[in-house]
Amino acid sequence: MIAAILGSFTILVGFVVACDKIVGPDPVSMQSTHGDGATDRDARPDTAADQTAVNS
Amino acid sequence: MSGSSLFFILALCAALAITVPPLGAYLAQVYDTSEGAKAPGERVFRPIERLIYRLTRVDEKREQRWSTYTISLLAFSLTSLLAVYLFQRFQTHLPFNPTSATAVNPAGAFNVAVSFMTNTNWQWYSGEVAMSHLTQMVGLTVQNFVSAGAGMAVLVALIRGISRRGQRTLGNFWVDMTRSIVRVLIPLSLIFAVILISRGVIQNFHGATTAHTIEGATQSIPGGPVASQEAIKQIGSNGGGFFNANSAHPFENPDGWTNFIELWAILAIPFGFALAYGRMVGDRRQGKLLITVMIVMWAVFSGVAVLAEGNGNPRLATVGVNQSISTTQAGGNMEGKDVRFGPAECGTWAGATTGTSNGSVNCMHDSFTPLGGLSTLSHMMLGEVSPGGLGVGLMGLLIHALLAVFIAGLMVGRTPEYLGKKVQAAEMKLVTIYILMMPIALLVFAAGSVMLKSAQASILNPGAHGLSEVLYAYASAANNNGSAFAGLNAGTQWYTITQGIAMLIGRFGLIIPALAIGGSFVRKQRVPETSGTFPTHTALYGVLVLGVVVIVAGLTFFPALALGPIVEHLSL
Repeated sequence: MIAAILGSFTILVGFVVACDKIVGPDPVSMQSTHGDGATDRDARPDTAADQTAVNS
Repeated sequence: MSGSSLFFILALCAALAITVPPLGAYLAQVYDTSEGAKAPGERVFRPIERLIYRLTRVDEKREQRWSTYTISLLAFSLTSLLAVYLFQRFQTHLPFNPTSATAVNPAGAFNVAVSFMTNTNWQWYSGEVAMSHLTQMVGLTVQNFVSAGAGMAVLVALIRGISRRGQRTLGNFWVDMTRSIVRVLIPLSLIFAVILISRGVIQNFHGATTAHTIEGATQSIPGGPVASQEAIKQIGSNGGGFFNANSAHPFENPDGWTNFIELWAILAIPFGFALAYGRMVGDRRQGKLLITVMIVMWAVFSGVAVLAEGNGNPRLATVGVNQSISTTQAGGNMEGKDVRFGPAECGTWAGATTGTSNGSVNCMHDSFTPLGGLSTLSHMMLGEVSPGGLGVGLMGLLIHALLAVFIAGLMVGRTPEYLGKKVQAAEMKLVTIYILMMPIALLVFAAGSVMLKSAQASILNPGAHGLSEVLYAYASAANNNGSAFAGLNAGTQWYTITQGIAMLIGRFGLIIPALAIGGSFVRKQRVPETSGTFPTHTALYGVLVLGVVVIVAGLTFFPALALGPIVEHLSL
């Protein structure tokens, strides 16, 4: 049973990794130190996926 | 409904109206970790927190990305689960076991450990028989505090994700949970436990006391540290009773006064979080809108339960049973209800406990009329958002709020925005995962339970009512509610294991995408408001959020409900 419990939490960690993939990496500007708080993600226009999500 | 019952309900609403706003303000201050911010009680709580951080080597200044925050939550939850599991398995060898409780079987111990770690508190066992006092106190009651604190921390992280701009971190899980427990749960529980003891809730370390009745029979009267567990059971949206009868037991809920204050304790903090949210995002109108949506749902579902039970059972009326209000009875459907609490008090409690993921009961939901049972079952199926459990309730409503702005965006053909932040493809994928998780856990296992021959043996009532019992069991598990419809033998290996899995999915299958949404939002800047921005503080948006919650649940669960309580009602 303890092995099953550990296995279920391993799956949950995998789920975290999968969700992190959906979130995507930090924008480049956030990793640098511009200091103005602005990010590439905010500056860029909506992606095709964003538009599809809205228009479909 | 009797005059006293009406007064009871109005007094409860008044008590909540008076206490929830200051509670919301206090909660917002508790989680304000900015430089120089001080919440009331700083001089008392701060040294305790510093000591905890020093002992656990937590750097309170160090904030975490969403994934680190989530992994911290998972690591803590895994440790909790293993500890509660081992307490049950080895309780015969541990102290404070006056009733000589034996070791719980592995599947049952897994179910209980998951149940209390996930704040579900589903109980397939009789607490007074199966658990030692040590397991109840150090295993289960401790989980009542920490599982509630973890849920509160998760909500705070999501709110920070929404309110912060251009950042990477959501706070520190260990700090948020510690503040939740030290500044909210422990102080309230201490006060509440003393009030309960003063009203007759027991608090001792005895085993059972044998008494001889006037007729010469012997009676075994249980003892135990009940008040301390009862307090956090209600305040923490836990619901797991010390006794099998839960809050219908006179040692847990002795009179009308305790019934009143326990109901208040179930509802106050979840409602308070909605107002705290408005303060934390810097727009109190947002909080007021969400609390209004919560109140509407809570009032409707509670109202249906109160009226359905107050009207009585038409089958009993046809055979001449008197169900009218009189000086000797509360009237209505009194099956499964304590004479101390009539249908209105039970219906109000049922609405509160199924809307908050609390799960405690003061009467037997299995004995409700089909309409009363339908209200409790469908209330849980909304996803525990009215007002929901500690933290996770508002978290669920915020996810539905994002879905509502997305739908509004579809209607007008613009990229949806929430509080000035664009809701884009990543967030909508995560919202979709969130929305699908609970129904999957509920419907797949419920379907298995009515298809497998071995699982069918657990269903003690035939036909539509039996299906309602199965649906209720998995709705309770998948929504981390914990209340039971009863009439179902849930102590089998199938039920203990599948319900344990459903509880895990219902907790982490929802929390993980919600925190990921917080992690995605926290990086965004706010875009300026324009004439095309859909305002999220108006009545129109409130109706949209309400509609989204009801329609999502309705589309998902109506077929199952139609075969259960709806068929049962039509066959009356």
